[in-house]
Amino acid sequence: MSLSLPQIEGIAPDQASLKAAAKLMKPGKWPLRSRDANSQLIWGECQGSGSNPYRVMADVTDLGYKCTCPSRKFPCKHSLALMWMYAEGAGDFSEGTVPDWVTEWMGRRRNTGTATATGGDDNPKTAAATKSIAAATAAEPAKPVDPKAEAKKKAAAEKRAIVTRESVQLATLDLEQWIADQLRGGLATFQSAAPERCRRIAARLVDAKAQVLAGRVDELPSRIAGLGTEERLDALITELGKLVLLVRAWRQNPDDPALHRSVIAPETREQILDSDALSVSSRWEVAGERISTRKDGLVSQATWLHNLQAGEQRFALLLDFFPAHLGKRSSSFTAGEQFDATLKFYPGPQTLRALIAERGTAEHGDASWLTPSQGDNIFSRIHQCLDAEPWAMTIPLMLPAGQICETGSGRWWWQAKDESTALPLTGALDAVTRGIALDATIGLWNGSRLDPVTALSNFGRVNFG
Amino acid sequence: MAEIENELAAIKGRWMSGLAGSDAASANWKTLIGSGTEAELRLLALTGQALQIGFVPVPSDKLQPSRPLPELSLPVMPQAARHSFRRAMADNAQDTQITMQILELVESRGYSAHPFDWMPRSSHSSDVPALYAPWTDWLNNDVGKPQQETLSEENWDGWFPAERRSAFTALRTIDPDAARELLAAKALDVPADERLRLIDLLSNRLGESDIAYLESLEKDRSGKVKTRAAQLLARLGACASDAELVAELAETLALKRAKLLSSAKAVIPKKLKNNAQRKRRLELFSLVPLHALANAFELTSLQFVEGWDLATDERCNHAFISMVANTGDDTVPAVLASRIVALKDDQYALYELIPRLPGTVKQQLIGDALAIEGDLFQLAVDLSRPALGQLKLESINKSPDYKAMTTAIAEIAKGATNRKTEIALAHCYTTLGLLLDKKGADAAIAQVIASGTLASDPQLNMLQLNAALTPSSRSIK
Repeated sequence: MSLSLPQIEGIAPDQASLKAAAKLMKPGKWPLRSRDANSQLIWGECQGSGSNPYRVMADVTDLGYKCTCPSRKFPCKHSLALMWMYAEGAGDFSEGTVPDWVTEWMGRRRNTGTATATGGDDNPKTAAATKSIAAATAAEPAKPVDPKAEAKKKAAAEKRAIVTRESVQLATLDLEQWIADQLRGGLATFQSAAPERCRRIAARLVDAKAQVLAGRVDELPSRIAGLGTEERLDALITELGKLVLLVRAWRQNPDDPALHRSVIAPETREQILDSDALSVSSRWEVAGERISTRKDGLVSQATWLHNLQAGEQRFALLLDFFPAHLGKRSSSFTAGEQFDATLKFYPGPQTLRALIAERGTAEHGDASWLTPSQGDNIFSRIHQCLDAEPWAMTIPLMLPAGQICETGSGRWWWQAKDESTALPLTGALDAVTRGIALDATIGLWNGSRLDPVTALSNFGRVNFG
Repeated sequence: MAEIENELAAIKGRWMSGLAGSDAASANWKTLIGSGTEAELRLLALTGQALQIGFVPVPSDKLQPSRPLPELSLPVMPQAARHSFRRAMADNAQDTQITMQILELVESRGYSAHPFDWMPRSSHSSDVPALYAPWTDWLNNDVGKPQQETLSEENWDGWFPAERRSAFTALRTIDPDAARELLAAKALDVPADERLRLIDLLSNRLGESDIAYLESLEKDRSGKVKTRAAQLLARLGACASDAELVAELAETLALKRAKLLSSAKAVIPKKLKNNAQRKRRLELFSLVPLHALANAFELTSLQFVEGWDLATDERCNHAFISMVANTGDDTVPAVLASRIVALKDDQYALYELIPRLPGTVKQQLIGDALAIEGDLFQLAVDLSRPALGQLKLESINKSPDYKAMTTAIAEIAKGATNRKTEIALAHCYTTLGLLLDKKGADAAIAQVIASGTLASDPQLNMLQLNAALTPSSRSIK
């Protein structure tokens, strides 16, 4: 099976998409490019602007395609780039077994009827006239560098940074005052009015450009509401206390990257990749994924990885946000998938959030977990994290052998096999999950509950959630 | 610790009602926090950290470990096969029969399903392979504890019901008399539905020594149990029958010479005048035992089955087959099944007889079943159960349906499209996936792919599952 460039021109939604696809025609952006034995299916992983790569797949026979990116153009630039690269050099695509995520897409296509091969302009003649690969690859004339304009731009950026800092400074004081007001008004009253009150202060924080802090405050009521009535007061006090600590720490050191990330905005991908941030090359396993829609209309996609080789850096978090109105986004990874990669970690006292700097093409699935021993103190690990970052919200834990237990009140707990430690669990677990013997568990501790992500059990590896 | 706990409780209590928490703080903390609004904010940060660091979660009640899910006698299938298994199960989620066939395929390769991929449900509890009896009992929350020893009167109550049935089957196979005596002693202690399932198991190694017990069940509280016992007695030729009903049914049948110069007899359903008569005849087949009807024509059961004319009345055939399946002795179902398969037509009528056929007879019939054109290997699957996934490709690739399948694949590869053919092909791939051994499945997949179908095509899910199930040391050899 072969693909021709006119075919790709034909399905491109517009010239801009072809232009964007041309910029992705670099092997370095594609840690994985494969095809099946019959050269009918092609698939790849493209490292986009987010932390999670995009999974792209196409059926060469009918030009069907699918990409996990949130683009609303069909096909997106990633799909076009994959097909384009294949059209120009099928030999660069390694022959491989069709992965499950491609098979699942194929299954859905077959069940719902074959996808139409023509996207965008249906008429190939007019399409060719309006969209051109040649034009997309044509070198753009270099824009002359205007030193004056550059200096002006830089000065404006510096001015913006100062304005933002001053604005956030005031906003954090405003937040403290708001917290004090809630204490004065009584936390009993606050609990019943929390969503509305948090929404209002979060809006003020957004106006003041403290975006990340605003998101945290806005999400506070839903985090509290997920707990039992008797736990809510403690959780509320803890969370408000953490906010006080965070804003004060930021005011003390507004240039600290970790604090800036927790209050205003994270660094860009390029900033992290170009920096001398901690870099760890290892074999990683995808523990699981947590996707949640936030009040501010963003969907948070968190992929948790754990290190399968010895080292200090046990966990990594690939975190992306995208607007909820773009619809459901497919997962970038499959739980249990293992791969070699160099991760670059966002700097901070707790290095957790990371980016994939370089990914090996070979996938492995046979490395075993570095399981903790029964005597390991889970709470000292939690305390260690809180000592370094007292406002931390989520702490990943690797727990030793244990079992799921129930209290008389119908709550579920994870309990160590030697009964030395017990942690309450989030949500409900089905009977089968509760019945398995857990040899090791990876979970996310939020200060009140453990969200189990994955485990090794007497029935092999199991995923929760 | 109690001191700080009390202090924090007092602070929290004051904040709840809008009072200053700092008034309840200890002297040590007061020196740290100062006074006014600033004191409240500092106290809030301190209290929050104290709650995070100073206390560990303690359950309000004693923790009760969840009931452990029992491990089965076979290991769970390899991780690599689980994805194919889930897809095959999802494809056939609405068809309990195929679902059970998939489980049998997995079991015959020496594995069990992963509990996260499949668990028995109450809706199909009676069809679930015995391998999963511990999970059925676990799901039903049945009390008792798993037993390792042989089932006996003493330990009867200590068994989970599903596991007890498995143990009873084993006992009946080894020592039929001991099993019957045990059932006679304990049957009345179990509910009617369970009693019916256990009495059903007496059909295994049914013999004259069972007659007295089966006759005693005539007084059972359950009508279903009485009917089942009567059917088992009929198989032994020991069931009393209503002479009037037998005569009424015999009136609707005719005994004729099979061929002009032959002494063989043919039993032919008479042409009846109206629907009411035809309906009544069908009903009589379910009320009269085979041996009594044969006697009415002065024939043995075997002669009657051999002489039954399968060419006259299809509905009558079905009723007659049911009668043979329920009340015929152990020799006649095989004879009737062979006759039906030889006709190469209406093989669906055979299904009722299959549970009564010995394994050797089923094996012999598979070859004939594969020769039936248009069956798409379905009868071969039914005859192979529960030992699915064992058939070699060489024993199947000469069959008319396999040849037709190969031709259809080639035509589709050339671009021909025919929805009917595509549906038939998908069905073939499924049945082949259930029938073939791993080598055969690999070869079939290769053949289909070579003709242009994608390896990931969902139609191949069953074949892909088969190919992923490398036989374990516990597989059926």
